[in-house]
Amino acid sequence: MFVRTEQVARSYRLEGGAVIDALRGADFTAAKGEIVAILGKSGSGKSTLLNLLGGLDRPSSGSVEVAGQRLDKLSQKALARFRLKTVGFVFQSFNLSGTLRAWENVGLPLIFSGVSRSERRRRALALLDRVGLSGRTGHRPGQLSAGEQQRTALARAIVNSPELLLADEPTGNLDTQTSSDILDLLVEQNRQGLTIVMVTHDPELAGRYAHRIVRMADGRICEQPSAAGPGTPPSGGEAAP
Amino acid sequence: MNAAGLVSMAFEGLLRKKGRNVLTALGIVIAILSLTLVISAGEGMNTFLETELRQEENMRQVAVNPGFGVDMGDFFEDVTVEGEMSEEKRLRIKRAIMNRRRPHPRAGRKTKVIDDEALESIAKVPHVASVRPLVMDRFDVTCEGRSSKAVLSFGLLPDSERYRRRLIAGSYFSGDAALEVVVHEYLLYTWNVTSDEDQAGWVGKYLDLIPIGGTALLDMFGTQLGDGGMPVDVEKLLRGVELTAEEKAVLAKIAVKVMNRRTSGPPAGSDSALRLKIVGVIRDHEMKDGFFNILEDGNAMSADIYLPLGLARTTYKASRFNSNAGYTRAIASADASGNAQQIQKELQKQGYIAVSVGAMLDQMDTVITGLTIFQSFMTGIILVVAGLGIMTTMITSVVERTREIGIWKAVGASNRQVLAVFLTESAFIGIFGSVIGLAIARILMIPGNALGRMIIENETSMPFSGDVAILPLWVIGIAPVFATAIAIAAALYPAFRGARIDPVAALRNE
Repeated sequence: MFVRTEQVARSYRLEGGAVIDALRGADFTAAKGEIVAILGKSGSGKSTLLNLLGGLDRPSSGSVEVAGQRLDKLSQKALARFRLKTVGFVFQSFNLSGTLRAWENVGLPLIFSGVSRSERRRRALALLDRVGLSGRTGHRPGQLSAGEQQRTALARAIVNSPELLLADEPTGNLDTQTSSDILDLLVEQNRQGLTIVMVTHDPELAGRYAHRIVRMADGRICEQPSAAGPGTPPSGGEAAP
Repeated sequence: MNAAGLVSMAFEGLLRKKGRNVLTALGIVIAILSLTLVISAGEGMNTFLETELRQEENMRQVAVNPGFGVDMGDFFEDVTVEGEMSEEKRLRIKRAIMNRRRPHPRAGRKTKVIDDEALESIAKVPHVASVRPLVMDRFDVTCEGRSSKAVLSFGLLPDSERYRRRLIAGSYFSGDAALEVVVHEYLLYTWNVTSDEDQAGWVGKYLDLIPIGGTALLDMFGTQLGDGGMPVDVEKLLRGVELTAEEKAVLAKIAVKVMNRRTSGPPAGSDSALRLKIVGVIRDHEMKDGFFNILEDGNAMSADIYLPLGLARTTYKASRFNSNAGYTRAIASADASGNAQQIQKELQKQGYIAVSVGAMLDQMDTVITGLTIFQSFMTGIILVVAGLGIMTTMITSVVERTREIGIWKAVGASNRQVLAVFLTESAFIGIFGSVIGLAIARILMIPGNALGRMIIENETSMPFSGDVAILPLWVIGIAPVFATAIAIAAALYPAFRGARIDPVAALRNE
């Protein structure tokens, strides 16, 4: 399995000493090339699981394996390398740097890979063209619409050609049409082999675009159809656009 | 991440808060500016000492002064207090010895006079190549109806090329005992002879040299006669002294005689005056003349008339007061500069107050170096304060950019890369501040040197055309490195704090 967690748990100790169990032994899997949507209410542990899959966080117990690497056993340095090479993030709030132009935001991960400025620019412009922002490359996030910002964030997430894309409520701040546009782009990337794990609380969108829907509640996975693989049509029954 | 990427990220970070970062760099600018000026001033003084004064001819010379019965030893170095006493008392006695050595080296009775016999004995000290007295005396002078009281005369070697070069009219002495005099242009100026042409016209005239003996002694007798037939000043001096009537009468006779001599003096052209031919007019030493002989030229600075050394010695000894007191000072020249210290020690042992020029310059060097180090240390404190400013700015920057650090980490930045970005930002503040500081210092040195030259020329009689402050090349190389190192050290804590930020918490940060 390309992504697998076994009995993964994550607890946080608050300042007052109280302990919050965000994940309580979740077993999650995703096959290579799949689009998996994680559905659940706020506080169900969706984002915590996503952070663990992306190597942004470490589990309190259990194991996390992505692309053959046991993330729970990697050093800080190796985790950073994993985030740089293997995984791409798309956030609900875009998380773009306000002082950088669109192409500079897209090229940001390439700086940490040691890519030259001219090459960063070339690759960023090509990706912005692919997400339909060829005319907005020199604009800063404040000058872009929400949809344009999320497209920029998507271009940044795939600039290093990752194997896994983690999207945390990628359409949470977007209107219906823009949401569809963004998800269409995700599906397009998926068709080129990218595995996508997407957190959402919109069952309709999940149904339309994901191969599989996993449901979470109270830090546990309460419903997880078996991994169907990339050849299976999205679970909502409609063909992906 | 390659160097170009690191530099680009650091620049991007710095440009976000230009004003704040420029103000932070201002601390470094001020520190490097102060440090550079202090070091440059020290370098200027050292260069002056090295190039103008520390020359072989100077370094071979030892100034020999009469001994005054006070053991100078090696100043404070060889103070040992022997005998049974408490440590507190030993320290007290040591301080007492040092106090007696320090302020009054010429206190006490003159026990070692520099006369002709002494000069012969000094010449026999090992490694002494030559010895000659510095003959300085005061005379009243008259010439063509102009006169001056108590002008300083100075005896010169008749083959001195340095003084020959300073002539602005006429010629130098024809011999060691020639009845000739070279007058300073200042003396003629006081006689209202101002232009070069007019001054040259005085060459060939005759000047009367009138010995005045020890004017200090004569001044004691004043000029007014009291009721008792004794000069009033002598009456005051004798108050409380019991004298017989006979003794008083003799003393009054002598005192009145001396007083009369003081008030009238021998007339010009009388037997006691010496008539000398003015052969040349001379000016002060200037930088263009090159070598400055510290002992000879330094002592000759305020002389108005110059006599050939042989003649000067004869007229000097003609005064009973002078012949008893001996010459004011002598110059012993060593066969090599390395032997000057040895001569100094030997002459000190013989009871003279002897100081080699090398030792004088070494002392000045020590003082200058000490002052430079002290001032550098003080300005170093400014650099530390500037470092604290950088630390505060970088902490603020890390806190403000917490979310951004989260983004960097999410897209693959390692802790080390985050650390490097903040340290590079701080290093740029150090480099920028030090380069600006150096540049301002160099620019300030232009008017500073002009002002320094003006002050030296106005406040001292030394002609000076050099630079008061010289920026050493090593400072240009070291200052940015030093400032950058301080800046990086100051940013270590904030940078580590930034590097250790938890990306999940950072991305939640608003």
